[in-house]
Amino acid sequence: MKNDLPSQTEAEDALNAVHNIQQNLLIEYSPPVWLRLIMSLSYGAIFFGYGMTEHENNWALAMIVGAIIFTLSTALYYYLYKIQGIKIRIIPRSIKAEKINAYAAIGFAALGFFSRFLRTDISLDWAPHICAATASIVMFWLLIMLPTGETVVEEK
Amino acid sequence: MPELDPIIHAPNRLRICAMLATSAELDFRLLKAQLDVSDSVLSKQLKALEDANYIEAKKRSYNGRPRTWVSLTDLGQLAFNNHVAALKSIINND
Repeated sequence: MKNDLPSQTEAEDALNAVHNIQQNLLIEYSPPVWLRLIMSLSYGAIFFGYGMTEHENNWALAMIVGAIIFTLSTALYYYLYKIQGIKIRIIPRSIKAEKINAYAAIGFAALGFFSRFLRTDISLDWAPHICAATASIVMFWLLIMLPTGETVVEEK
Repeated sequence: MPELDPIIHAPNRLRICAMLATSAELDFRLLKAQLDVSDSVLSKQLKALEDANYIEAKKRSYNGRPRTWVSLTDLGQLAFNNHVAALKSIINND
């Protein structure tokens, strides 16, 4: 292969082909936006319910309902991909996706902690609202940018 | 400097690896539709990648119908990443 190296133009064409087919696959087969919105909002509801829960008040129920809706919508998300012929990756293999998932996991853990701690210990009553909204937005962003858990959707 | 992989360098095989790199597994029919090739052409390309241990093909029944799921192996992922890096280095060096 060393004696038959492609030209710069051929190399660019090959990279463009890789980029185009990956992006086309990610965009064409992605599940509907409403499903990703439900997943994000129910995920945020878990954070909100957790932050607002005191003993067994109604917010504990909100957290449980949020968790159930999130689980069901995630299962539907996985199923919709599968019937189209795509099995999404739960644990990423690329370094870029691993980093994004690691940062997200740390961020969600921090949001969960602060959602409750700031309200109960520092009396910031709006903390669960902010943390839940942030968790929803970040989850929605992840579902848009990393729909199959591996390759990032990006503009060329 | 990473070297180009002669097995992946063929246009259809490069596109197959690119698609497989996005997910855990892809259905044979989806690959066929995306590449717009016949069953025999796709099978031939997949066989070349399978012989190099770059992909794995598993047949499973789904709703009573057989489906072939194709995935990139760790070796295939590494080879694909190296190939893309080699293409980028050609662009940067010229």
